Amino acid sequence: MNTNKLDASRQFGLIASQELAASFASKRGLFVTGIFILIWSFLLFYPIRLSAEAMHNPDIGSLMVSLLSLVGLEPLKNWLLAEFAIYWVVALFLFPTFSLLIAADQMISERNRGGLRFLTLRCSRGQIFFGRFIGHLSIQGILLVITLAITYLLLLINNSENWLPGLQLLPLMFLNIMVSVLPFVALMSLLSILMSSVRMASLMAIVILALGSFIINYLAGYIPFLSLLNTWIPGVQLVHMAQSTPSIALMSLWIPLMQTVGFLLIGYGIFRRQEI
Amino acid sequence: MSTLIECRGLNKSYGQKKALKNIDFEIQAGQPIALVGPNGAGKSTLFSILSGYMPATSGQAKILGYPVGSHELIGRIGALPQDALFDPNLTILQQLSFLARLQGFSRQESLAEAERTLDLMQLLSIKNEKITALSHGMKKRVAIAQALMGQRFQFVPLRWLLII
Repeated sequence: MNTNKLDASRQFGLIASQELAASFASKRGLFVTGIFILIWSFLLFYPIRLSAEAMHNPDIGSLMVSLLSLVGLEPLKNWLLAEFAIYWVVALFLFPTFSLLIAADQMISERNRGGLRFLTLRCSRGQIFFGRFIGHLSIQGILLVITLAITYLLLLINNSENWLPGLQLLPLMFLNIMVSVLPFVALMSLLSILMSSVRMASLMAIVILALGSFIINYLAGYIPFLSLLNTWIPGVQLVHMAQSTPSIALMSLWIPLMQTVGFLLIGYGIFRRQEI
Repeated sequence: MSTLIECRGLNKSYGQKKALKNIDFEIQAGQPIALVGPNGAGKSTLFSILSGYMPATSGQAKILGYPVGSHELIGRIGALPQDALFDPNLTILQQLSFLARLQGFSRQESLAEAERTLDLMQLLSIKNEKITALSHGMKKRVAIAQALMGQRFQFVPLRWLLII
């Protein structure tokens, strides 16, 4: 018996790293990651590279600015680094969407086949719940670093004199996008406790994100106080962030942080007493 | 003799149906114990509560003097859960060694411990297979192997045979 070597943080790390391994070992994980790589390869080498080149070009730059104004993203024209400007908008929306797909099965399949029972005698439910969350967050973090690195490489190829401002921008972009992803992964942690199938969890997430605001605004017409619930819809701050620079967007990060803490506390509270 | 399991006023209800009603018993170390009863008597429910798979509606269950679910019992109880299946995407050795690491074994030790218990179950030759490649009986033996890892207080409820 090796209980003398049991270390809560070590077990927590083991759960997170196993989740990472299991996600990439499953057909679903490989499929979603494959789709992700395909979409990003296309985005990086066509829209992002070509849009950045267009914004650098004075002849068609004004056309780009008009287009950006049309979709409410005029502030992007002020970005010194065009590659990152386009990446910023795309990543802010794509990473959360991707997290809904890849983080949907944090518990469901394993709970359904009884596999969680092998774990609960060896570590606490808290370590399982939060370890899984961190594991899925690590997947997002790794993919975010890879796409940021490729975008930086594009910047160096197109505009190498901006290597230092680009380098300075990287940690800010990473922080903003990572924190924006947090509540989406936390929402999937919560839904993977509540729902009985991965499909239902994904569907419920789409309903919350797509119809949540609509339902809240409708009800707020009768009870104005309910409009405060909009703050609990993940991604509610994303449009504002997309229209800002990463340093200004930092001021919006309290919303995803608050949502993450809320979703995780509710999820853990239920999972602690749940039959497995 | 020291008390291994102690239940006091244990109740479990599923909606209106009472699966366990005011269960009181104590099991001392060294006693061979068998829990027998007809279908629906609540044997699975009792073992699920003792293993921490489900909470009791009321009452208290203790193992080795600690309430079920408490941190002190983590890694100290072995169980063979009924109908639980391993991850179909990872190999048997990967999964057993991961469970051994959660019990406190180092990376090297965990591989050796997983192989030791698989050998006990005469399954060493299939250690790199995935669970889907095994027969029903072999899957059960892999589940027994995980329960035997480490030297712990063990529930092995093979149709409710408890071995201490």
